[in-house]
Amino acid sequence: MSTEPFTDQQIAQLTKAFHRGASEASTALAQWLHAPMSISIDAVDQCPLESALSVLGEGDNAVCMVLMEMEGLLTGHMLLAFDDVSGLGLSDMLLSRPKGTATSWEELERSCVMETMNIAGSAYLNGIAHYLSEGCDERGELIPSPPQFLRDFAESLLQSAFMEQALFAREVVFAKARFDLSGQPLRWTFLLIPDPASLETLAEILNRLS
Amino acid sequence: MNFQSSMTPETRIRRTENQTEHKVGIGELMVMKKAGVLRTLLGSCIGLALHDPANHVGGLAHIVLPASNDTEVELPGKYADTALPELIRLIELSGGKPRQLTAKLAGGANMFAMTRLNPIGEQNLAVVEALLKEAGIPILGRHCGGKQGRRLAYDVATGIVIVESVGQPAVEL
Repeated sequence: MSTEPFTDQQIAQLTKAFHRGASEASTALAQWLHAPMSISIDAVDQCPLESALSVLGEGDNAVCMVLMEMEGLLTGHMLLAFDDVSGLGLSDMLLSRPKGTATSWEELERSCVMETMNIAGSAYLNGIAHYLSEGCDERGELIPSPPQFLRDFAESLLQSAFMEQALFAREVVFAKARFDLSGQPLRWTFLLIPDPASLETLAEILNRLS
Repeated sequence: MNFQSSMTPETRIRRTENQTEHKVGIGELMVMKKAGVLRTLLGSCIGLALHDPANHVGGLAHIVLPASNDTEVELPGKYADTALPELIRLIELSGGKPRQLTAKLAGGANMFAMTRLNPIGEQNLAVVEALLKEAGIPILGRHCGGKQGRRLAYDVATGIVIVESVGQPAVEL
């Protein structure tokens, strides 16, 4: 299997699909957090693996990540990465505790960020599936796996996230989104990384949508 | 998990004023002579340090995939089957002797437990070990597998390799 790079037109269609996902995830998160929330797509990027590894900043920073796999119309990884302060701050918010209460990743704090990803990720995938279904003969679905919490070096995590694509192509494709809560930018990064089989399927769907 | 104390760096490889340090990026390899430290970050990839103790020459490769499948290779360090011969060649050019080389390995983690693919880390490790055996290079230390990423530092002067993982004490190979 080898994958061809996406054309500009395909990237434009893919961006629209991710915007639709971001919109649905914003609505779901606003309800979950009881606060105005927006998610904006920073980029649908196609770049060499070496460049993609810096998408979370310095490679040897320890970062937290909630990971989900997607099944159905597309397969691949979806992940939410954040630093300790942002992730623990989220758990304080969800548990109605004063900011700074959580200082380490215990079961409760992990559960808070995993459930947040569950809600955001599911809504995001629904939005993408709705948009891409317009280019399919049948209504497609995207189904997320249960979330997994990881805390590790940023670059080590990204190597693993991109590895399936790197097996088959020189460039990797991913969508990156930024979160804003009540107008305050949060240090959360949402990445959606289709696997190589999906990139081929995706290219066909995007051509039909163009 | 207390993250405040989890990142305390091991100091067996001390930074001195004149010491040169280089980061070896994904798919890259680098050779140094006499003194210096080569560092890399690993997930499923393998860090392969080859060391000639007599001539104080050594190199580090950041191997991403097991085989190049004879395709055109821009980064020889990226594949196990091209990284090893290239590393040996560059060490020899720097005055090292292939028959004196020893190896230390780290990496090959399977970080995403749910992934559908056969763990690429295990495949990388198996191929690197087979190639080293074939080349007659003994493996003096390894810190491989598991589910965690690793930060590797190789001291060319001493041959010491330090491996760090988030939340774990550093390990010397």
